[in-house]
Amino acid sequence: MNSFEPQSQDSLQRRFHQDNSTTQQPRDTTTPFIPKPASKNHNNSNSSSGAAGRSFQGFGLNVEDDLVSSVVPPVTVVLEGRSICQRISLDKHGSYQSLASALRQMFVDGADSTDDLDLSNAIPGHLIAYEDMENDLLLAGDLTWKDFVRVAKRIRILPVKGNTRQVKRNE
Amino acid sequence: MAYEKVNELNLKDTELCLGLPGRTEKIKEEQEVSCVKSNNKRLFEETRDEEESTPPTKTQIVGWPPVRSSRKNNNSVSYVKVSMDGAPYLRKIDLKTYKNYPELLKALENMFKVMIGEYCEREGYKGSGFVPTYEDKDGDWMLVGDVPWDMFSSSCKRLRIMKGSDAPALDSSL
Repeated sequence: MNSFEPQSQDSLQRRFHQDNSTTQQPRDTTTPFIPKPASKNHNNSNSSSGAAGRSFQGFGLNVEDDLVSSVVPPVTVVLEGRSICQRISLDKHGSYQSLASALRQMFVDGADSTDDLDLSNAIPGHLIAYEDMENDLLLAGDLTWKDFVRVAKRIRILPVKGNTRQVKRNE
Repeated sequence: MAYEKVNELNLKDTELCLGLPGRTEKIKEEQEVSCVKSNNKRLFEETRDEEESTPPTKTQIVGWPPVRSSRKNNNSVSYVKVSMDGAPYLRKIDLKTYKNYPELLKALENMFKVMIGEYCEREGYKGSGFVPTYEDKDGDWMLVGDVPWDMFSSSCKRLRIMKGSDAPALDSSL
């Protein structure tokens, strides 16, 4: 029995090494960003056909900004009080106004498009916040759109009244 | 012998052959079981990596990704988080848009709808219900206003507006 365990460990290490040789960074690297967006797109194409279309778009792009945005995964949108979440691809939007319009169509029934739409009035009685990589809850809109797409991991829609009762800081 | 065994195991992994029970020996069966177990562990690790990636440290966040970091330096953008005790969510501000302490404090007052008051070197922000503090690059929490503005803006990593109830503890520590 003792003779088999090191062999399985060797096979694990060898498999990890094989993955390392296929242009993927090792798991123990400090930066979480994978510099090969093509492989990420390939992983996405396995899960759904919509992502396959996105992977083809990713291959054709030349600008590094677009390459970075093409590997941004969809983020979960949570409306307080609702048990079912929705997902949205931030890289398909170019501005906060576009995001506000999408959220309004998601959560407001019979919503008609208005010109003065922004994050503060996208969903009446609610404000748009997001969680970043440190699991802090921040108000959406302070950052530039590109920085917001980069750091937002989850969008949380909070009711305005009863604001002070919901303290959600992890400190 | 050990080398041959390792080679055999590697070849077996490459083949991924499902033989009949009668054709394989017990030792090979056990090897196959261990391979399946390692396979499951591998899938679990991949799933876990996808779902819960380890949050990077603050140093990585500042410079992540490298491409954005260089562009960020060109644009002279310096976003920091601002939290206030009791507030349901945090804000982010660009310190480069402010030139001095009064501008910053006025912006913070507008953001969180509070009155911070004026800074006094001897007593800090005593008399006000809120005390602005910041975390510097060494990870220490400092009182806003003690050092020159340029030193503060280059050293500030995070801001926190403490409530008056925390102020006595802060005063005693000073």
